[in-house]
Amino acid sequence: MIKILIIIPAFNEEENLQQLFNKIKKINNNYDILVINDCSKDYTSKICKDNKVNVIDLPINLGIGGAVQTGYKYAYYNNYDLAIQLDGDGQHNPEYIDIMVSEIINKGNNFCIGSRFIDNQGFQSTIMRRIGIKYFSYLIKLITGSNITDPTSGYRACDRKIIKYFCEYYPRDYPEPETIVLLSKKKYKISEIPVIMNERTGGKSSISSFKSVYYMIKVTLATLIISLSHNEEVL
Amino acid sequence: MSTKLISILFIGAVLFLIFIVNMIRKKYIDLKFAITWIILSFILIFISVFPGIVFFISKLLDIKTPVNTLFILVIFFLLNIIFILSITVSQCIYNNNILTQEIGILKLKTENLEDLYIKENKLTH
Repeated sequence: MIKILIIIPAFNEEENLQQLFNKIKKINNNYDILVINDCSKDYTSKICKDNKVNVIDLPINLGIGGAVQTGYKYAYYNNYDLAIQLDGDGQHNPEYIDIMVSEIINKGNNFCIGSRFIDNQGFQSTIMRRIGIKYFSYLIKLITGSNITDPTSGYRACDRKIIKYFCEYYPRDYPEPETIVLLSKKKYKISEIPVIMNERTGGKSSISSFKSVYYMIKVTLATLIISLSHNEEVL
Repeated sequence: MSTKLISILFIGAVLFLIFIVNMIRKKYIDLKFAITWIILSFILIFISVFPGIVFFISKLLDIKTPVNTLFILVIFFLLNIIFILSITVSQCIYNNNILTQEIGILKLKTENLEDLYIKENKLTH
């Protein structure tokens, strides 16, 4: 039996979690779910407990990087074979989980990303964000040679080797593009599948326009610096 | 500003940039803080290649010796960094407080659970 963990980082997502749990249970009652409550001020934790979903209540807000890394550590310590990362805001549809699992188990990939921009269906995000995402795609292509259409997608699945790697290092702010560059550098096999994402129904996004500029500068720098590291082989 | 000073500035800034990038690569410093130092080294490199900027600012601010302008700029920059560090340290102390309290509460929980387990299983200490 392959052990699969669904990691859901959540910060003040009381409006979205119940619907997300219903969707997941409808598809498969046997996935292990772990919600990382990143020090929410609302009823995020209570909703998880009411649904009998495992939740880790972090005593300090760590941000997306720290929260998700907590999930990977839990996955590692509890010997999970696969970890799937899903946003707590309801933008990601759980029906693609089986496809992502199959990409890793059956097709020999180490990492699979759910991309909005392969079929270009569903919520495509704002124009500004799309321009930013195209920029990151281009940067990643330049540095690693990999063609990744949705480098900022938080909908991703990984195998045991990557779970272990993420336990040791996971970037704290805006980790999605940086992790792709790191994994590419380490010669892990990355694949993408088309997914349809929804617009956020409740709550607030954590990335404002000012932060987006900082995001782009920071990720560009991080990517350039990573590219200076020596090529390390896959373990 | 003599050519001697400018060349020392240039070499120093380049070495510093290499040093900082290496620190980031080895993960000794977080990229978030390193960015300010990277920006500083780029500004210093820029000034040593185009010293005219410093002369221009000196005239603007009525400063007699251009070296003094350089000092003022760097001091201003350093004050900024130290202030940001003060904020960061305050947050670290605050976070440490929270962690300590949580550990204290967890310790009490586990001690109570231990006692309960011993009692329920009629074990001896």
